[in-house]
Amino acid sequence: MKKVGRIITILLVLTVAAVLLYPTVKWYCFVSQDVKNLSMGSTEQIREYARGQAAKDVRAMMELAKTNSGAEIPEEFIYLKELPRSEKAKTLGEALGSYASESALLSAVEGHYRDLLIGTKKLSGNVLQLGLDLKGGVSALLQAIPESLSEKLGREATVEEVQSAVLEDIAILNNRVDEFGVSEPDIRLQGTDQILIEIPGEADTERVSSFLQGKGSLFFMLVDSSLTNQVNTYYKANPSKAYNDDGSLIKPSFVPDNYIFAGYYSKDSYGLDQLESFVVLNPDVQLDGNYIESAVTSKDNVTQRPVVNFKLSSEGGKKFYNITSANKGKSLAVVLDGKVKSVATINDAISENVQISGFSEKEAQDLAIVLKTASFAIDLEVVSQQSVGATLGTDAVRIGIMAIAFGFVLVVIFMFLYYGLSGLIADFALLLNLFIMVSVLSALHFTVTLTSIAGLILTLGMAVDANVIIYERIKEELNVGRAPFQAVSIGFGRAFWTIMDSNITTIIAAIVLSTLGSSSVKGFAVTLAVGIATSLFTSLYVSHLVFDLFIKEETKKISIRPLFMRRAK
Amino acid sequence: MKNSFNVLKYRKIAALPSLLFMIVGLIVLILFGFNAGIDFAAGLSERIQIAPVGLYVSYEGSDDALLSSQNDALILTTRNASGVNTISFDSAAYPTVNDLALALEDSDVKVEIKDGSLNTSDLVTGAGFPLRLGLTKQGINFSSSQKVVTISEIREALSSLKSVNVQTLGESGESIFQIKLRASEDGSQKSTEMEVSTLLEKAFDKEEIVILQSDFVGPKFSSTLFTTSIKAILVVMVLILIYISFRFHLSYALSSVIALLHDIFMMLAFIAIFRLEVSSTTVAAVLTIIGYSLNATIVIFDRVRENILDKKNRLPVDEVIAKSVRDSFTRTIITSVTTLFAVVPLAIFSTGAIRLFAINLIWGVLVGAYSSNFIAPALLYFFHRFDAIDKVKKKKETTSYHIGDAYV
Repeated sequence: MKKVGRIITILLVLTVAAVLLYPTVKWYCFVSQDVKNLSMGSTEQIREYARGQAAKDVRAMMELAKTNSGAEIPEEFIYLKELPRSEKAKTLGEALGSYASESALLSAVEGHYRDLLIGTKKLSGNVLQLGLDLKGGVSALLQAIPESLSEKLGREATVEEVQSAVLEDIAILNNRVDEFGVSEPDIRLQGTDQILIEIPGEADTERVSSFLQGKGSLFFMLVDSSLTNQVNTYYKANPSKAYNDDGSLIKPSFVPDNYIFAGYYSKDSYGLDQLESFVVLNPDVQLDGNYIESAVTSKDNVTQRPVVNFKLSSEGGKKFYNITSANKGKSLAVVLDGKVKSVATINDAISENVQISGFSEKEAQDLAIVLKTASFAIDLEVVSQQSVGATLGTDAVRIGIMAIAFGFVLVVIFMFLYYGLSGLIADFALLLNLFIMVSVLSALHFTVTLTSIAGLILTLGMAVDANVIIYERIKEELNVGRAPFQAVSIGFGRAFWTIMDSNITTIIAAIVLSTLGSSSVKGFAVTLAVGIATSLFTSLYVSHLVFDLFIKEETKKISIRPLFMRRAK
Repeated sequence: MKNSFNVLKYRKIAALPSLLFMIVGLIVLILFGFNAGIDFAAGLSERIQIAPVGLYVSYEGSDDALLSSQNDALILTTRNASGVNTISFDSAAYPTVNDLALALEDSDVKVEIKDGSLNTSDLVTGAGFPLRLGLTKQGINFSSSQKVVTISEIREALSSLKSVNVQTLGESGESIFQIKLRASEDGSQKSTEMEVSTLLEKAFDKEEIVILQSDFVGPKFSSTLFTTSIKAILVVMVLILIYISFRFHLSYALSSVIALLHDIFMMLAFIAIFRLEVSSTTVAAVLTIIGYSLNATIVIFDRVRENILDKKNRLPVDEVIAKSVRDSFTRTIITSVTTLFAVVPLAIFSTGAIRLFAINLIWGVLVGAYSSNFIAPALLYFFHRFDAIDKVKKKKETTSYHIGDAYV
């Protein structure tokens, strides 16, 4: 009766472990490399890709439907059957017919690509990932320089001011992510005044420097309203012609060459930039964002709606006054790296202190950050940096796996030789331990580094310790003439607190390390702590059950002695 | 013979090698100090490889083209309208650079061969990889046993730097070197890196220098690392002291913590004598050994606690301790052996920081086994004189029995 309950508990634990491990297995075995590569890009790149791919697909679908609307849905567009509107469609014509307009179809197809990649991206955050030292990449620890902030403020900066400036810097760095290229860096706060940047795949330290400098190409430009209207009507009529295959906008032929044509974006519910409308900008009237001295968000006194206040330098103020006084009633756009981030109407001539209104609180904050992106709130310096080439990383993984395999095989063989069949039970517990351990680590979204491989290997050696203690106890009981059943029962009972006490002390050391150690030491400590905890379960609970299943009260013999010695008997 | 062996009789002799070793360690430490790695001393550690260029690549197409490597294959990824296209050039299918060049040209990459006889499997990728292809031609390096650079050539090239340390890594034909350099007070990551690369570029062909790995630790970081490490070790010791006093008794707690100090000093002496580098992984190794050795000590002490309550077989305290050590002896040996089984392969196969870590651990496991069998029991016997372990235990008898019986 009791045994059934224990078996169920163990099966339950194993099921949970398998569920926890599932995302990792899915990621490494069932997601194609192409999708992985694409999903590693920034959300910006994903959007561009999804849009380009959608525009291309829609054009091809319409072309095909024109010639043969009764055709079955071809293999490459089979996803149409997964989209809610067209899921029942049998032919391509039917599928396309289920969308009210071309733009509805376009956004549905784009949604399909976007969801696929965003889903994969989310999945990648839930799996056991390799650290930079194993897959190659650059990691840099940046330290805020409080003096630079004090200089800006003209007085000693308080700890709180430094902290909030560091958080602002992180926001600014995140804003620069898109400038970075193929893979998206991971940017985190470390302690109170340090920022850790990890860029997978790249091993070029130059990249970090360029990242820190940023582009900061921010401009205020006048919106040409008549051309803007013209373009918007044109694209409303032909939505799939708006984009190139790579997701970039196609400039209509009637827009003069030197005029800038851009999409006006706002964040959608996915946190992605959503195209609002198109704007045509007059390149002759503009102001460089370098004139901005500071930017803050606040609330309008009368309307209580969020506004962004920014201050220009006196020279910038004069220029801005000239622009605004000449163009009252027209719209002014804030353009960052060729993208329109905000459009506001000029109500009055403005000089140094500018207020922009007309958006949500979140948008106001975003804009304030955009306005400040040109420079950091507090200067940063690289205090430590690591870069590992991909070859070296692959080698490290190979060596790590080899060492684990070698150690594992040696331990397994040794335990069998020394403890006979009981040794095999310990080996089984060890294997189970490895499985549960990896699944717990992947549930913690753990990043496997070289040091955590070392932790894994060490745990492997130490995990059998509990079984050794138990077996030695059982042998002692057998030596004084007890029957196997009693010996097993007493052995497990006596060993219990020995094992607990000895392992709890090791866990104490591991936990302290994982909270106080440097990041590489942390990986090791977490692995060790998890490994010890799971080994307690596998040795005290699982192997105990296995013994109880095999050793009955009437059992006369138990295989727990060295194989070679038994032969001698 | 084994059944009557009393370790306590030999405690003074047993303490001798430890003491000697620590004294030698201390002398070395005073004379030479630690061989501090950049984690603790601020500086740059770079792993470079000198490898000839096999071919130059450039790309004129409109796609976004990227060259990366995976295992022994070169991978060309192009991104364009039709999505992502990945072509893998396996070293088995394209054994030489000549073969590789032909295949790349078929994929619209412009190739200029410099040395076509090099092997694809010797591809070297470092900083700059994945390689974004563009109009300017970029070299791809392949290691060659024909063109070997010796360590003295590297040392020669860097001789103008003050505190520089060069080591050979990998096999001799590979020309891989680890360069370690102390950073000057105001040296930044960029300036220190530049210093090294300018000197190297004077001596070697710029194209042939591949930076495999580069670690930089600034002065600020290294000082915080030192204090947090010390803090971590102290916190661990205090917590352990509390736990053991709570579970056992003060005598046990004091003896095990002093035995721990012994282990730490033995490890530091070992690191000092053999001039092993001290880095943050050393701290991890020391702390692991604290946990490990303690584990063994507790197992023995647990036996002492149990044997001392044994009413049927009353023995003097020193005999009880000796008996407990004997009782746990097989376990100590087997656990040490299995741990060594796991760690020794790591020391053999790995390189760099992890190998150092593994070597530290091997020594630590040995020291740990030694201290828990010889040092800790002797200390327990010593402290027993001030805080008797058999008498006070009797007061707690009821609780202890409860613990023992609950699982029988």
